[in-house]
Formats: sequence, C-alpha cells, structure tokens
Amino acid sequence: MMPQDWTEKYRPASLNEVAGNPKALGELKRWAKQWEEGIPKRRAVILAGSPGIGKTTCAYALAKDMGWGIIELNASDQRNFEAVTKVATAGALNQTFSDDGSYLSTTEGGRKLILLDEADNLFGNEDKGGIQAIVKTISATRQPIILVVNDLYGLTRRSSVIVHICTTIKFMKITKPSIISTLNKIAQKEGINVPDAVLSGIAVHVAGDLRAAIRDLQSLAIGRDDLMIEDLGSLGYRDPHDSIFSALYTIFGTRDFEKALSATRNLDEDPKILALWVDENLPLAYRNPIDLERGFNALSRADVFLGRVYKRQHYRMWAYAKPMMTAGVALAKAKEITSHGRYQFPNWLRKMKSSKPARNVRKSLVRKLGRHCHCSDSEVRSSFLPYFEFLYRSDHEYRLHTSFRMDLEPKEIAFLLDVKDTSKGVKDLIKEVKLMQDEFATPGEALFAGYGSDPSKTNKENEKENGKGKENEKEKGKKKKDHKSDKSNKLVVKKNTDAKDDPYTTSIDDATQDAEDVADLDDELEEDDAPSQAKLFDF
Amino acid sequence: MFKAKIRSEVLKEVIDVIATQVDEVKFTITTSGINAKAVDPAHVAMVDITLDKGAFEEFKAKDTEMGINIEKLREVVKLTKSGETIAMELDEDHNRLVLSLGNITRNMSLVDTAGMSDPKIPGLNLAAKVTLELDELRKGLRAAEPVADHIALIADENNFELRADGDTDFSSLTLVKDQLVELSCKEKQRSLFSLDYFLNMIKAVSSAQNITLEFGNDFPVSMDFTFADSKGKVSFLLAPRIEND
Repeated sequence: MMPQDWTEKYRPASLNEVAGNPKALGELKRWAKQWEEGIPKRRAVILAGSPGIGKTTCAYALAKDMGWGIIELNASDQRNFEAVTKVATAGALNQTFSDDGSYLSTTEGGRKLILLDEADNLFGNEDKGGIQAIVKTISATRQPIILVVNDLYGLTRRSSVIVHICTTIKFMKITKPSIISTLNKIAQKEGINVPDAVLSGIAVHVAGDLRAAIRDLQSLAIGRDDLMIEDLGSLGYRDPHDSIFSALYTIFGTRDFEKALSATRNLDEDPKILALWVDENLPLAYRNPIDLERGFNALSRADVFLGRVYKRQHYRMWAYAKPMMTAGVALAKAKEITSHGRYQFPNWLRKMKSSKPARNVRKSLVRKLGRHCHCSDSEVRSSFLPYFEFLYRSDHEYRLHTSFRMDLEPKEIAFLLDVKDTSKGVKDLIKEVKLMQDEFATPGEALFAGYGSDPSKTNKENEKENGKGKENEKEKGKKKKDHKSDKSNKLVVKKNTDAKDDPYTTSIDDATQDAEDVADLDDELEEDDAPSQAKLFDF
Repeated sequence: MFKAKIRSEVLKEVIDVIATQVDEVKFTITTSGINAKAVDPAHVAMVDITLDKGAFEEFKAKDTEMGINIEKLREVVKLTKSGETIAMELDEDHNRLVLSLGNITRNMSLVDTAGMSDPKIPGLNLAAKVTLELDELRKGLRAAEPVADHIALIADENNFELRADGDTDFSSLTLVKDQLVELSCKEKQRSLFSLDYFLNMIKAVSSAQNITLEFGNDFPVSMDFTFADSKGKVSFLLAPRIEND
C-alpha cells in the first residue's frame, strides 16, 4: 500500500485552515457570500498565482464551507475543451446532485461550484472559439464558477472580455514563516522530529511553493522519525520558472545591475519579445520624466543591437541587447521604486496578430506588383502602392486590366478598394475579369504601358504550378525546393524568380525553430524592417 | 468472486444506460445480483441500475466490486449478436475481467475503484407519478427537439403534459388519465428539464414498454423502468433547470 500523499492528507477542509494569502481568501469569501442573495454581478472569479500555493485547495475548501457541491473540470481528465465546456454549461444551468446523496436546490441556497482547473491550459491551441464558449457559459451561469490559472496572461491574451466579467483574485507565494509553521504542524501530527533548520531549509528551497514543501518533507521523512540538517542535501535543485511579470517587476523595481540582468535568466522569452514588454510597460512603471527618458534611451540602444542581430544574423549581439534592456533600463532611474505591478501585454504584438490576415493580403499584392514593376517589396510598398491604389480606385478600365493581368484574388481587390471581399463591387469586377480571361487566354502582358517588366510565360506558369496559395508560405517553401531540384536544368531561365523567392523561403524555414508567435514575429520584422532586403543582398 | 453468464442484449442495455452518465463505473456485486450507481460529470443526472441474479443465465458471486471502462466493455459486446451468451469471470489476482464469447476470450484490465466516487441516491418526495408507454414519451420528446432546449413536465389530477416552449414555437404532448397507464397527482406539479439530458437517457432504453416518471414542483424527476423480464431495474434521476432565484 502506498503511503498517502501528505498534500492530500493534510489538505485543509475549510478556508480558515488555509495557510497564507489572507487578503485573497477574504475576497473569495465575500464573493461567495454574494451568492447567498441571488446571482451576483460577477458570476465567476479567476484565482491566479504560481503553482502549489493553494488555489485549487481554496476552491474545495470554499465549497465545503458554503455547503456547495463541486465539480472539477480540467484539461487532463476530459478529452477536450468542448467536452469541458459542455459539462460546465450543463452544470451551470441545472440544479445539482451532490456525491453524498443530497439534492441541492438553488432556491434553498444549495449551489454547485464549477471549478475549471488549469484554465490557462484548457484550450490548447484553440485560439478564440474555446475561450468564447467559456465566456458565454460564465455570462449565463446560475452557479458559481471558479477558474484557476497559473498564468493569468495565458488566459487573458486569448480574450480580454474574460477579465471584465470575472473578478480576478491574485494569490501570492506563501511566505517562509507560513511554510515553516505548516510543515511544523504536519511533522507533529506525523510524530517526526524535524529541526527548525531543516524546516527553514525546505522553505527557502521551495521558494513559496507550499505543495512542494510538503512533498519535500514527506520524501525526506520516508521510513524515519528524526531528520537532520544533512538530509537537506538530498532535495536536489528545483529550477524556478519565472514569469515575464515577475521579471518586469524586478527590472522596474531594482537599481542593482546583477539583479536586473538575472531577472530574465530563467525566462523563456525571446529578447525581442522582452524588449516589447519593457517598451509597453516602462511608462507605467517610471513616473519621473527624467527616469522615463533615460529608460527609453537604454531600451533604444538595446533595439539597435537587436536590429543588428536580425540584419546580420549575428546572434552574439544579444549579449549587448539584453543587458541594455534589463540592467540599462533598471539603472536609468534615480532611485529604487516600488512598482505597482499592473503590467500589460504589448499592444504592438496584439495588433500585429489581429492584423495578420490583412497584412498577408497586402504582402501577396505587393509581391505581384513587384514582379511586374521589377522592384523589391519595400520599394513597391513605399513608392508604387499608394499611386497604384489611387489609379486602381479611380479608373475602371485600369482596374479591370490590372486585375486581369496580375491575376488578382478577390481579397487583394477588396484590399485595394478598401471594401469587403464579399461586396458587390468586388464580385462584379471578378465577373468582368473572368470574361476577359475567356477572351484572351493568356494574361501577363506588359503592364504600365510596357515600361515595367515583361513577365515571360514561363514565369507565369511557374507561379501557377506552385499553386496560388500565398497563404501557406511554409508549404510553398517546400514545394519551391522540390520544384527547383527536379527542374534544375531550366534554372537559368528562371533565375530571376528563384533568386527573388529563395531568401524568403530559407528564412521562413529557419523561423520554424521557435514557437509560433515568435515565428510570426519574425515574418513581421522581416516585412516591416529592412532585414529581408539585407538578406537578399547577402544571398 | 464473480462468475456469470449473461445474454448479450441484456448486457448491452446495461452498458447503454450507464454510458449516459459516465465512462467508468464501479459495479457492486453481491450474492443476489449486481448494482451500479453513477452521477454525470456535471452532477445534473444520476443512474441507479440493479441487475438481479435472475437476469443472468448463470450467476455465482460473493460480495466484491469491480471498476469497468464502459467503452471497452461495449466493444466486446459489439462482437456478439442478440441472443448470444457472454461468460464473465472476475480474476481478482490479476485485477481483470475475463470475458468469453464463442471462441473468443478477452481479458479486460479493471479500473481502480479507489478514485471513483460512490454516489448515494437522494431520498426524494415526489408528488406526481405518471406511468406511460415509452413510445408516447419518445414521440413527445421528438416533437420538442426542434422547438426548445428544455422541456416542462406538468401534471394535475387528470392530465399529463410534456411541453416545450421555444422563442417562437411550442410543442406539447398531452395525455389524459385514460391514455396513461397510471396517473396519481393531487395538485398541479411542474418542473423544467434539460431536453438534452432527457433525450439522452430515453435513447438508452431499448426493451422496456412502460416508463414511470415521478416529479414535483421545481424538483428532480425520477424515471424508472425495468428490463430483462423485470429482473433488471433502472432509475434515472435528473435535476431541474434553474428557473429563477
């Protein structure tokens, strides 16, 4: 028989026995009390905080204190988020049978707490749909809902609505004295002798994670009644995984070079993303204009180095960029400050993400134009596109012919006309273009009165073979490569196009290394800054 | 110890009924038969199913329990035709159930029952009792399905009504006392239920002719029926929708 897990055995049955976080517990109790007088305005709370500090425990203890039933749903034991939402919704709208054989009616105050554990992981890669389903459930629920998250931003980056309809209660790490006193109680009940130094050693070691502390104590105490200070050595090293928020907190708070620099050491975040975070939140942290100016100065220096990293693909430059954006920013202020810690997700990233479809359309349009005008994407964007757009909008005949010759997609047409791609204008134009296509079998004659390029037929065919899908760049990349190898004998003919496309292809392949967000960002940086051009020359 | 033979269609009905609530279930086995109780993950519905030893072709058992994955068991039953017999034997040493059907032997590892909830069935005082033909009820539910996502059960001294009110449409199945097998209700009772759950449960019933509904005012409904020549008994419980508070 396995010995019982002490974290289960000594799980507090009531909120009054829960260690630490008195303020959060008070808030939670007040919210629960509101349910006694009908449905409160905020029907759900989010309990946010690092692992092992009692969030889930509190939810269970609360249910017990209030005499509520509880259903726990989490990512691991349900098949998918749809199943979770379904159960949550059913639970939210109906009365309850509790496990102990009673029927709980809300008219008599018998409620059911719906606990969505690990809510930040619940939706996997589902971007919006999942969270919207939960938002809907929360808006309609007639039963209390608690969402437990380790990473609040993991939830809120998917939906900002959810913070507005829920009360967020933050749980802090458990203080060392609380951990020691909790461990002490357990040791007494288990009848083992533990010197204070060992308790305090465990407490330091776990860095505020009470569950880890209890597990450590149990693992040290297996089969023995006395523990000694030497035993601590067997605990090993726990790698703390910091959040971006705690890193920002340190950077903006301290004036210590080493502290600020090491704040990001355990952070799993790309320097350029970190720079965006600092950029977004610096004005929120530094109130003194002089501090702010100096802070941004340091950050801009970091950005110069970041630019060099991308331009020259020289990652060693990170070694300069990182201290500038962390320690540089930290030392920019005249004296240490206590930051209030309401930091935000970088707005730029959010906008980039939401405008991605539109930018993709622009990108493919620019590419097509560039092919005809024989110039680079950035040249098209800065010099040609505004005039082309104007002409395209004002002259029907021109519109028709250019659409036909460049083989424009409905989305690109819609982009140029600044209307929806389902609008009548776009549809009509496409019809006309179709008619033209039937009439002249081969599009792709000279554009701009023959002054631009003369795209050869091979060029056109080449594009068609590769599929029209600009939307799937990666796949395109692969295809291109295959294409290149099996038609290498014709390489000379198509050198023009290949030279143009391949730097993109390879750079995109490189970008797959990282998380998708970062990969997206790579694309964005390439597009909006100069590096893609720089690479083109490298090539 | 548990060793039994059972007709495949009886076992199938047991599986269908339990599957409406859970994926894994604990069977409590006694010398007189087997029983399972389960509550659905949302704690909105419950089932209490009892199979008397008479429902088995052969039955030998001492008090024990076994945790079964319902879907696994369903796959085994799918291998048989109605009327065929499945032999089961609990192998407690290896913590598995050995199933034999024709020339096939299937060892099925059991689920640990320690982590499973052991729901108790609440004692409820339900004022209205209606027994009707299952086909009538099915028809009423089918009529309600496109109209709304919830249905009201209404009974008074002489009538029973199953009513769905949608945003624009409504449907109603109304049966007077003569059309019912049994109706006992002193004053008007009405409760509202999730149609999804109701349908799901009714779909699991395959062999019963009649079904007995007991409900109250804004209170759960119990749906009772028997199968396997009245040797099997099922009681579904469904909690009502929260209407106002």
